[in-house]
Amino acid sequence: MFSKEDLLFKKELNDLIKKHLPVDWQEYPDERIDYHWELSNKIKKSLSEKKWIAPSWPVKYGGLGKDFTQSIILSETMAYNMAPGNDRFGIRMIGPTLLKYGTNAQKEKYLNEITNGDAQWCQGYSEPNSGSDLASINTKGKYDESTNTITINGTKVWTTLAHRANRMFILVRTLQGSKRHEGLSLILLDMNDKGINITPIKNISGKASFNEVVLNNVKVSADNVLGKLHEGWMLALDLLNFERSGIDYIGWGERCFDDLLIYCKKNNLLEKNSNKDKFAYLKSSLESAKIMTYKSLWIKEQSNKIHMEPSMSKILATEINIKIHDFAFEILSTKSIYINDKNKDPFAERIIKNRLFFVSGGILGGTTEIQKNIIAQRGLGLPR
Amino acid sequence: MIDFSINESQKMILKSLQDTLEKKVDFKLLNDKAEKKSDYKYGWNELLELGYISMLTEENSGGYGLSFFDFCLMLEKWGYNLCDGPIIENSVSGILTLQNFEQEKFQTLINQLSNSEKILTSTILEQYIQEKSFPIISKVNGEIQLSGKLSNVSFYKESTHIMMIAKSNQKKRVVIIPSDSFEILETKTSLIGEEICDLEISDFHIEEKNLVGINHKINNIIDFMYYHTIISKCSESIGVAEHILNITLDYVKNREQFNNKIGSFQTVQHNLSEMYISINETRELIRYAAKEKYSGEFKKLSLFCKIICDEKISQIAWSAHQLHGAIGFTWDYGLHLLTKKILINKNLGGNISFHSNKIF
Repeated sequence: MFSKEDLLFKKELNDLIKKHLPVDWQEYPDERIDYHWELSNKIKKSLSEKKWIAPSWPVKYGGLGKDFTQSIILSETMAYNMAPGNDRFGIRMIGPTLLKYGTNAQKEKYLNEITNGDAQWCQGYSEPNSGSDLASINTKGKYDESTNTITINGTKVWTTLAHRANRMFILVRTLQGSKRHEGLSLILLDMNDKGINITPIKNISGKASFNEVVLNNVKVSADNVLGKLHEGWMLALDLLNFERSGIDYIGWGERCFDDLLIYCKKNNLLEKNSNKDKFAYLKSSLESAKIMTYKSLWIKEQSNKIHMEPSMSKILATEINIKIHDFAFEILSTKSIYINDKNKDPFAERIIKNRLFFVSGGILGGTTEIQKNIIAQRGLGLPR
Repeated sequence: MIDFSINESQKMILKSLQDTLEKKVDFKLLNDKAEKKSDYKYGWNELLELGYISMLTEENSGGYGLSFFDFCLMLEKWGYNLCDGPIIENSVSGILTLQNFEQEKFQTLINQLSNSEKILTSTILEQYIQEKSFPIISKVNGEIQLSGKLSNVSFYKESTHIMMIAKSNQKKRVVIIPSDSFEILETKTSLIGEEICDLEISDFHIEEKNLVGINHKINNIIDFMYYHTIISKCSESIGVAEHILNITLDYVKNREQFNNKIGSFQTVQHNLSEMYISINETRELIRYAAKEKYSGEFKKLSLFCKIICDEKISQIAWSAHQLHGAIGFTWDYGLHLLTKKILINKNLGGNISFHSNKIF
């Protein structure tokens, strides 16, 4: 599946990441923490120097013009190493959407900023009363033709990394009185604009990686609308499909699997047949989920249609990652449940932290239930 | 480069097979066969007419020279339409293995297997997991002879030859023996009416022409047959599962309860989504493995396929029964035939404990 060139890229990428990460790095990337954020910026800059932030993008936007295979390797390898610096909002969501729908000026400005390692994007979709039902969003954008500006008012929530980001793509109801999918626009915001207030929200693991973002009379040029004004819904969905491959979860799951296997071998736990069978099943499931994530990324390259593969691969990748962590939790037994044990194994600490955090996998970007609705109704033609 | 595409000639093969085979699917006749009231069989002759019996035979031997991946695509349609015959045994243990390891010696047999003049069945799945009960090759009065029993041989009555593992001085050998050299000890009937035989052979005079791989490591040949066969069976099962999904979809789109099509209920939709996901992930893994036949990962990938297929595909069948309600529980509806075919394939070639010991 991978060429010699791809494998060499993977090796060099691994070397680059390892150069930045402390030895025996056991932490899930969490850019909320200051030293993770510093690492994130350092790694981004190193990747940028080699034009590796987005290798499949055109050369004029800081890429290498490669096919999408190296982008897959990049995401998977970053996740496997649990390395900060993988800006999925910029590289995998808004970047491909800009390439497809952006004006030349937008591409020039935003894509180069991403590939230079200078941008951190966040996503302004969910609202307090609009989660799975995204089309019900209520954040308003009032367009003033005379000044060509849009004034935005509303609240976005669960906004990962809003406190670090300098950019946000935000879905706003710009056509007054419109309902559901009509009259929405996808707008590119500068997070330093006046009127943006960010409040961290502590999550299940005790940290605040996501936020509430209140927009109070935020003024933005209408030139920052991606695609056409009032016609942002399809772009917003297309963007989600870029997000949904689940490739990160494959990397995280595989890393957990490999570390757990080493742990079991070291502690003679693999001699137990039930453990061996469980490893075999999880490995097989991981491989099939991985192939599906590759397919969902491949199929996005083949046509502009909405495909079912991203929904399928997101479900598979998030679920196998959780199953592997659950198995690790089971194997590690009581080692995982104390937070102040002096002799605590860093691996056990990582497992429980990550297991809790990965609850989010089946929720963000469209819950597992929403993905199943999409598959049933759009893919299998079942009635709405 | 990552590529999941199916090319035009592969699409043509799939279409020609589906067009030809779907006309043959008759659940009434298949039900009769399961009750031993008929001997309804199709698939082999249709493939012969289309020239696909020789799909894996090299072009310079008069075949299509297509890949193992193409063969697995064909098996998806074979399984979808519940065809019956030794296509996997004849093509994988026979044509593909002989071409790979002993082409020169067995060229005539390869040609005969390719045009159905001879038909080969194989015991590889049964013997690979049973480390005992191999027929024994021994020297008796200066003559090399084969004696012993074979259990659960599929397609014995359709075949002219049996490819099997025997033991000689505790070492495994692969041999090809004319079917009529065996005596039937017992004929069993599978859940869907296929005949499975227990056989015995006594004092069969072994000649050089019966031995496969005299100059090769026998275990490589045995592994080659086993891993290609389990992938092939998985491809067949995927086809069966696709058939199950399609009839279930058809059913829920038409069946009304509470004044609504039951397919409009979210819990039904989610069940079908899960079936669809399982089919897709399993099929893509199998197709990927079939393409990787020359990579060092082929054996492991084959085992992953078998493990996933066994787990997920049988679950699809059970979900389909739940969604059909009582009608799927009936004999006449025919869903049971598809379910049973999946269960039969699941039970061939070892279970997860057997495979996990090979992986780790």
